Amino acid sequence: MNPEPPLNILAKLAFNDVMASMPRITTIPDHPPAQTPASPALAEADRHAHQESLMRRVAANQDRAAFAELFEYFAPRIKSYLMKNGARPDQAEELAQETMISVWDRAETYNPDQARLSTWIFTIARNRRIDFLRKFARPMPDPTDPVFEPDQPAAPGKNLEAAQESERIANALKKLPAEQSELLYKSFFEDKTHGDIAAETSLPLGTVKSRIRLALDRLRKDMKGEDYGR
Amino acid sequence: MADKTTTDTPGRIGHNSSAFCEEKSYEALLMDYAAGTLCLPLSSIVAAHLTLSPASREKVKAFETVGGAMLENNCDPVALSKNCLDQVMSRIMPRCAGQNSQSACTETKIGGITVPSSLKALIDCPIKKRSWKKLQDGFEIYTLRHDRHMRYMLMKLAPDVKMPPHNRKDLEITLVLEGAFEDETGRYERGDMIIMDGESQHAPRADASTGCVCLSGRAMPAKSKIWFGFLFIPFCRNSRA
Repeated sequence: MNPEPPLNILAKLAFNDVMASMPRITTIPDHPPAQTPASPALAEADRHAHQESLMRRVAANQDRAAFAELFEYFAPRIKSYLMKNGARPDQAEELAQETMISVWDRAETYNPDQARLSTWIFTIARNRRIDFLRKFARPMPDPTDPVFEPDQPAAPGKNLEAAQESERIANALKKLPAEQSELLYKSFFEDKTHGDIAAETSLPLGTVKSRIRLALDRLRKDMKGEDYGR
Repeated sequence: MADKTTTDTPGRIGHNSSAFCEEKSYEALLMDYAAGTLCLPLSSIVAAHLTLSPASREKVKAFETVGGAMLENNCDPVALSKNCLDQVMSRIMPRCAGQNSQSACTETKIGGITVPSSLKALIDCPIKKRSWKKLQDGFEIYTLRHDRHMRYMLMKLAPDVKMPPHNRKDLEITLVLEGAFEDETGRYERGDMIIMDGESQHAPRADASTGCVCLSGRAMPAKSKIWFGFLFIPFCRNSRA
């Protein structure tokens, strides 16, 4: 498996130091860092399976302990995402709470065949962010709209296909060269224009655009369909 | 006019006039929509495209998967305040049966045309009186919205009618709502969203039997030198800043 870039390892170690020095509310252990020498991929697959089972308990039994464990993992990451997009720490924390409260309220609507848990939670955090920072309700396709064109009826095995495709996309993302994934991250995740990114990284604007295009090209190989609606 | 996006921090896509929709391609637009960084009018159009096109929904889902993967792997966790968990545990309420059931959306009509409900966001701004304006035989437009960046309108072409060629100097976004049209680059049908950029001549012809209704968004010109400029003159400014 490809090793994680050094920057992420340093950041994770720093985070562990900070967390170790803070008073803990619960004693639920942090999940092991992904770069365990034995098998990072297996550790990550285990974590996903474990989180899916926590989510099932939250949905079926309103299990508060399972929810608390999901909160411990996701809320600090949601806070990080929101701060990178311009929220103050106190705002980011409040929005992270609201995101996880939505996860609780809408637990029964989560379908693991449709999306990975992190994808679903990302979309909820993103929508809360738009409501709050951008001050509009995000326009979305409504399946109950009379003009809504329904999905093709699921062929047998399609759900498994969808789950596998999500894994392929996530793995493809990890395999991107750092110089591409960093720019994709800034563009996609930090709401920065290509001009902003060029200024920040001291790269020519053309280089920024072409690296992001290359990153999307690589990811495209894992995305369904050849026709991009022109 | 009540365009909330113009009061946000400069430098964000959709707010900084010189960087409006900087990466002008179909894929980049879907990516920005998935990331939640696209401005309201374009989000409304993309959502309408998604309503009509199942294939496009798959592509957005793929971008959202990228978002989820980045949330897990690229977001260095930020410490929460001491009592954050306690607060959230006290805020979550037992769920009731039927709490997540959705009420059905009613048919949305704009200018007499049935459209995806997400387009309501485009007409959420004051315009004195909306009506269909005939620009020439078989060609009418219905203004939806204009802001400092773009003008959005419905266009109705009668069967087999060809729009007069116009010079496009900047971003143009088209969503086919009914019927179909053809131009030098191909045939476009209901649900197709087409992003065009850069200078070119463009002369679409409506389908010979069904005609065509489209939603069109065009960048506001720097000067009023365009073929239907007489409609733009009261709203035109000298620079796009």
